Amino acid sequence: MKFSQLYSEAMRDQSHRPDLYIEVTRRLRERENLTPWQRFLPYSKRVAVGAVCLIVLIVGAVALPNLLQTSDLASPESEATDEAVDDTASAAGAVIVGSANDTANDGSADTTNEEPDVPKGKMAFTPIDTGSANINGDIAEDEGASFNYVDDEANSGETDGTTDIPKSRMFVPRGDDIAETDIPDIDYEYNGEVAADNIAEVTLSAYLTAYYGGAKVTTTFLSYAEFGANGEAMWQFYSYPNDFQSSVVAPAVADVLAQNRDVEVNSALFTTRDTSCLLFQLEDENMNNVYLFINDRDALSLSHTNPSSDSDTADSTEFSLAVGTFAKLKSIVLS
Amino acid sequence: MSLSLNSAEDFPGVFERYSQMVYRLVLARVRNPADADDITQDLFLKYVSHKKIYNDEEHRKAWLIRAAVNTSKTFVTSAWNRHRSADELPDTLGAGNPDIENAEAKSTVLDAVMSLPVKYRTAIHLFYYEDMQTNQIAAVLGVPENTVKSHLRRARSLLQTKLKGVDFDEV
Repeated sequence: MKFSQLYSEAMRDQSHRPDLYIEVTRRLRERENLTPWQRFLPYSKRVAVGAVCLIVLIVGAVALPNLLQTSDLASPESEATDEAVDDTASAAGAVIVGSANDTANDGSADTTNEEPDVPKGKMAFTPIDTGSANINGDIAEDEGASFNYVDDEANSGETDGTTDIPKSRMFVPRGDDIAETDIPDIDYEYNGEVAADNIAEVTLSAYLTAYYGGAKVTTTFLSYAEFGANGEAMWQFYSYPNDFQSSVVAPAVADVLAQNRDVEVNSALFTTRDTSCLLFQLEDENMNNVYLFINDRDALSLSHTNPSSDSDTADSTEFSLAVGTFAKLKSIVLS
Repeated sequence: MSLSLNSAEDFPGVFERYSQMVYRLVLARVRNPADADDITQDLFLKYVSHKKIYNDEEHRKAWLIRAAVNTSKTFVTSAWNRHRSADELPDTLGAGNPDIENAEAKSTVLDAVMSLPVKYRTAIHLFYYEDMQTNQIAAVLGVPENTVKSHLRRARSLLQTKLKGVDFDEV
């Protein structure tokens, strides 16, 4: 027997089902009746596309809250329960933990008077005072301390014994180096009123959320001050939770503020080698500057400069004192 | 001369002439009559929608053979088919007509061919059933002629071990 004959006969015995032609023509008629949309996207593809869309929606629904949370404005109510970075740091007098020198960086309290602990990821602080560090508050001896602030209207580079800093970069020593990303929202409210007797009332409230040492820190602070005609201040300062009074939160807030260089300069914050303080430069309705100087180490003592009516450089000495006293300046701005 | 043979009027005749050819070629590749039916149906739907202009009948036949090979290849290599249980494949295609005297011999031959690798089955089918020359097979499959010859040679060698006393027509 020949293979070709056997195979051909065997194959000829095989036949497709009798109704195959009917089935094909039925399918063809169905295809002719399809709308253009149905031809473009057949049922099987519609199912696939629908499944993909469903997956995207589910993933989006899961991921979106997390994305929103990262940029969420911290509210005191919702964030008040957030733990501070380090419980030990809340202790009065505790300096910041986790510095470059603190290799452990384990959050343990460092109560020594060694090098200041600054977050490793926040080492961009630029000292304004390039002279010798003077942490004793004796500004007179600190020759390197100088600062030309916004009221130097000339700002023309003329020699006035100080270095002119562009107003747009006021208090931001190296603003160009600061990334604009990951800037938490800052809720800021400022009310300034100057009464007929030259008493200024200033209220400042802010809710700040900062990431410090890898942990989320939220602080809410409210300051209120009245300035008498003689320059004396009656002030109140509220902060809650009390973490703000620790040296943990203040630098974190400072760093957050420092990155927000697009807002108008209204306050400045300084960190020092052994303490932290907050200096707000406020502006009343008469365009006078008012300074609130809050030093957490000194139990929130307040310094201020009284607006001067006859000089644009009102109390620059006082301001320079702060700059010179505290070697690192981080500025800021609250819109 | 070009023929526009894709019109609806032409389709019944085309189906009548080539549907069994396509079905048997596909069956030789997929070994499952139900799958061969489905693939044949899809292929003719594709044929209608393709709206190709054929130079002559040989051209159209070659297109159908090539399309049958490619469509069945897509099916054979699909994940669904590869993971399908071997139990779902029929043990034998059967001789079809039990009255025929040499039905058993045909069944044996068919089973032996179906046990070959798919590329050998294709070559054997086109050569012995469609009476195509090796150069024609090479052209329609898009492979060198020597490849076709080697496939046929190895297929015969395998078949000779299974089919004693069967004569093969050499290339």
